[in-house]
Amino acid sequence: MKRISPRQSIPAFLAAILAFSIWSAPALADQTVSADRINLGIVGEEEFNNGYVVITKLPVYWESDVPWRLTVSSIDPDMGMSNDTRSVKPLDDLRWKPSDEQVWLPVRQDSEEVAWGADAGSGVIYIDVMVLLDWLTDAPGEYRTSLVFTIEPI
Amino acid sequence: MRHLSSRHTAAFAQLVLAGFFLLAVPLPSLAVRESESDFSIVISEVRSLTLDAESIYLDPAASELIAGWTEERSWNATVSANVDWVLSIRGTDPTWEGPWPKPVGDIYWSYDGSEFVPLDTLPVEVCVDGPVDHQSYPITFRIALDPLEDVPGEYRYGYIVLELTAP
Repeated sequence: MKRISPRQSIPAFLAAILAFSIWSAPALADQTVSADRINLGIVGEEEFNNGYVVITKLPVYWESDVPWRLTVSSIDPDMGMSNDTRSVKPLDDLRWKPSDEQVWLPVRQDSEEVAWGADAGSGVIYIDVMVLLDWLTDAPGEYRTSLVFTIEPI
Repeated sequence: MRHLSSRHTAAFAQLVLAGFFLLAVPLPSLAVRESESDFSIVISEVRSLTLDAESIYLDPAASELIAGWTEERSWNATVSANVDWVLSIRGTDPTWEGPWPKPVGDIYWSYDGSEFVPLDTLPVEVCVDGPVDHQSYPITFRIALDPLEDVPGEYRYGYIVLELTAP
């Protein structure tokens, strides 16, 4: 039997590594999350008198082949400035909750857990979003932020 | 240049393999997927005005006719706004309907205890303010009476219009 020198064994090791990497690829978590644009429209007298405007049952679609955790956060520190640039609408005025729960939570730049699951699969989670309104502080303007929904393995 | 011995080469390859294992095993827990969802809301200029009464009915006594004035009646104009505003007042008609064309100027109004002013068909500023939340602004009315002209009868005036507008 021909003996293989250590130098000759390197390609074999590299081939083994390549084969292993191909074999191990399916072990990477395959996860997706998607949510639609959220537009609460134009606020009027009725919404101001209520003190809020709310949109319900926004679908957040998820898919994961491993146990998962879904979080929400905001990219921006606030919702932007009024048209007259004299006031900023705080991020704290933006609230969310899972549609089947009662307690509203402020949207933050830090991730907040929306839901988690011990099983792989796919599904949809519904959330409600609310913006607090105040006659005295909410000057005219177009306020916006980007909500980030993140799904990660647990 | 120093050459690696065969033993070193084998050890190096094993290290590479071990390193790959270290990389490969934790990879699943590093995978993260994100979705950005733009959120927007438009807040427009909103001004709201409500009145706590729709009409005033007066039945002046003889003493009021002699004194030249009816009793006073007040309305509360409740304003909510997220911007600056002007509250103005005017009458719709130059005269009353009744036994004689009693002029609109016989209706006097006063804002928050200020001097009484005759009503006009042209709008007159009552007050100005900025953002408010259900703030009340009292407006008081009284009617000038003239025993020589105000013959007995029923007098009816069209409408007193209060308007909330931009400055």
